[in-house]
Amino acid sequence: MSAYHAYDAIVIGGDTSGLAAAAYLGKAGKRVLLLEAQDKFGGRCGAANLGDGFSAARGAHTLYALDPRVVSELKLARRGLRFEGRELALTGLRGDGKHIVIRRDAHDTASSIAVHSQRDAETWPRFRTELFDLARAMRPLWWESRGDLPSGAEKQKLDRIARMGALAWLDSWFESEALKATLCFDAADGGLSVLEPGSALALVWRAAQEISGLQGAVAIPQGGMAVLTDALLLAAKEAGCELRTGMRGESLILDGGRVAGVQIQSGEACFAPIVLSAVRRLSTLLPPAALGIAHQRTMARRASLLADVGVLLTLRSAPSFGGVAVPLANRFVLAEKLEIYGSAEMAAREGRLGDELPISFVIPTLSDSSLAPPGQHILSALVRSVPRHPVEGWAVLKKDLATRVVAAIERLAPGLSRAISNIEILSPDNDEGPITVPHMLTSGAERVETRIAGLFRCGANAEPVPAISGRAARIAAAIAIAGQR
Amino acid sequence: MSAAPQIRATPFHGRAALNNPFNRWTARNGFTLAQDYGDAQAEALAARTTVVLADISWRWRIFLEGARAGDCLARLMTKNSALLIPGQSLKALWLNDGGAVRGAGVIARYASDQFLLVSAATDTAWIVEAARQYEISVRDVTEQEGGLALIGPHSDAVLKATGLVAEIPPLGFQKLFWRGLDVTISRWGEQNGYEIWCKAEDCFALWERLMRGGASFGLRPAGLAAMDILDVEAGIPRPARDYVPASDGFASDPTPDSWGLESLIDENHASFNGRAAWLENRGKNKAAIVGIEIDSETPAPFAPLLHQDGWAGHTLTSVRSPFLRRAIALAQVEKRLAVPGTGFMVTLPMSLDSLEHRKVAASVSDLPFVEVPSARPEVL
Repeated sequence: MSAYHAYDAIVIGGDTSGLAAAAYLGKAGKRVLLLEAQDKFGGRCGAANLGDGFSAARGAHTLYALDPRVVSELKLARRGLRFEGRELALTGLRGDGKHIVIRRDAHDTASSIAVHSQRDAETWPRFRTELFDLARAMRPLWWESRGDLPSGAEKQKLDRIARMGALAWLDSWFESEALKATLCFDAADGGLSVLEPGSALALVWRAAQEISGLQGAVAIPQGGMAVLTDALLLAAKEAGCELRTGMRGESLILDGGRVAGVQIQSGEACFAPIVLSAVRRLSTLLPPAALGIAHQRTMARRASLLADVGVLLTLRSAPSFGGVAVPLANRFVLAEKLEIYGSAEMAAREGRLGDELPISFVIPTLSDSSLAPPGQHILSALVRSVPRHPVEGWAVLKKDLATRVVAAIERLAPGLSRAISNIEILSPDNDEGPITVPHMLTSGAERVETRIAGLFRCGANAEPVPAISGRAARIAAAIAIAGQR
Repeated sequence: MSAAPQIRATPFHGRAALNNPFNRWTARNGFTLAQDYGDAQAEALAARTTVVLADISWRWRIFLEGARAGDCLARLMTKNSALLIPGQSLKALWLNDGGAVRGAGVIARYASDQFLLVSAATDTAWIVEAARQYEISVRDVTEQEGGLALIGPHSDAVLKATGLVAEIPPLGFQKLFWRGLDVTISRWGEQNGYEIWCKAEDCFALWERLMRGGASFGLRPAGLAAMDILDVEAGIPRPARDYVPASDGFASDPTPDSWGLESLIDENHASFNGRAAWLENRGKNKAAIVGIEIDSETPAPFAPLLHQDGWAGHTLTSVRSPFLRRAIALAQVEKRLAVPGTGFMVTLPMSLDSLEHRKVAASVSDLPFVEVPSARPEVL
């Protein structure tokens, strides 16, 4: 049975980006339909029952890229979004106990670095100033619809850094391997290799973000990631959007070079002159080659071999780390040597797990105890350079990965394995290919627009580096409302 | 990747060699072909007055097969081949993402899920990529089959004399069983003739049959030089011969407009690849394709054209037309000068007549230079 529905705009995908886009369109008076394939909104930021009284998102547990204007314009604070840990320090854990703690305070950070290298400790404040200055100069390009590249001295710096791998860039500043290996983790975002151009720029992009008023900070929302979803959901509802779950978009309806609507898997067809897609599988919603034969070929060639994989551990007690005392409400990186980035990546390209893997983790329950039963904890880890196409298949890889992650953390937190009540390995996101320097240096408008008139990207993959941000949704909605295409 | 043989022979090569008294050969699309069979001028004139036979096996031919072959070609080509019924064909371009011409050819629908693409230039990479995206198969039959073109006012009569009777409208084609041979007869060419295609192993038999049947009509083989004369007389620029098609997926040159190929685009076909870019660049190019009559009998291929002592364009393929008894050329000139009668100066290459370069007058002429005579019924 088919039915006919007409809207001003349709948003595909009810994750945070999709909800933000719908809220913006609704606020502007558009008749908006939002389609979510699952039976709940929020995607990886939605509340999920992990069993045994644990309730947390099956995904990341920190926010670092959420656009402050999205927070204020959609009144997310009034709708319940609060930050608990507002400024997680980055801690590079080391077997010898000489952990590196990178805080906002440059002096504290320098004294932590000085244990490894006095020279690096002296260089740190200059590096941080230069990084943050360049990052702020990049904000017009990364934050606005048609922002410009920086000019003058910042432009020269950008030209140099855009051509560099993060490792080469950090090498030009620092001598301590411990420091460089810790900083490299964030550079390996979006399937980038720390040796490739683009990874240095990914570090700058990180530094350009702002959360709860602090540049380059990482925060944990109070009540878990689901609070963000709920706040956005409320904003979209109050903006008058029609929000529907269990509606999987099957394909886009095209009329010549324009989008005309969305065909739903159930047989329904919904029509609108504007469609915003927050889903990563945008190309699968289109007829083959709809974005261009050469374009599609380029996409196929760029297929990524590496994935970032989330691992959730539920713990009966908090872990404790040996060595220099560090506060637990931190973001930890387990990558003592630089070579593990290369070796893990090489193994992943062959379909295997590296012997050592770069891992980062947080324990969100230390900041927000509502996510777990009293006294118990969640450890949310992110593992880089996991093979996307494991030779032995995903079932074997998952088991192997769980063992390695637990062993790696236990080396620094003895007794961890006894405290584990459950391990869950999250499947990697759909592949859109590794991010590229040209993609990071295009304006917001170019990132959200597609070759099909009326069709926009508004999800994580329209950001310079994939992240929960809402910025692409804000830009795409603004262009759609202005009717520029 | 294994290296392709440098020189490939067509299935008619043995017969062509027997008829090639001066052993003059040339190459097109990777195949060795007779340049002429003694006298290119006489062969071209015969195509206008009696009838000739030409080896066209060098043309790139691929079958696109699969459930989504129609969708794939609708996306690929600048005219909607989904509207064809089996037995019908169309001529169209294929453009890259940047709206530049990648190729031109004929699409013939054999069945609901089977199409043949015929083109003067090979573009495997592009078509195979499109086929991959639509999950259809591509089967190259260029070397498995041969083809002969029958051109001239007596072509109908020759067919009748050989017992090959078919009512085929222009751009139509038919598969026939012809006294033991499986052949396809088509009317895809611009010279109002016929093309007869068969398996490579049947090619000698096809040649013999046509030559025997056409003997009393003066049927003679014509080489590639004569075929190029006919093309230029008809005002048709060809990929790879006159212009270099885009080999990049995103380049914006050559535009259809700059090569006078816009007639091969159906504006109402809304979903072809490169359409948005084509519309965006439309009318922006500054060159146009014209015919040039040269005040000489010596052709001037790929020579600069001067207008008021300034560079104003260049010639493309240039030939002596036996029909007009003068040298003619296709040329690309500045748009403002593309008016019949506009005068240019063109430098002729050295020849037996003149041992040094000469500058002679040339002027823009209407295209085609020669109206292609329609095949007429037997008048005996």
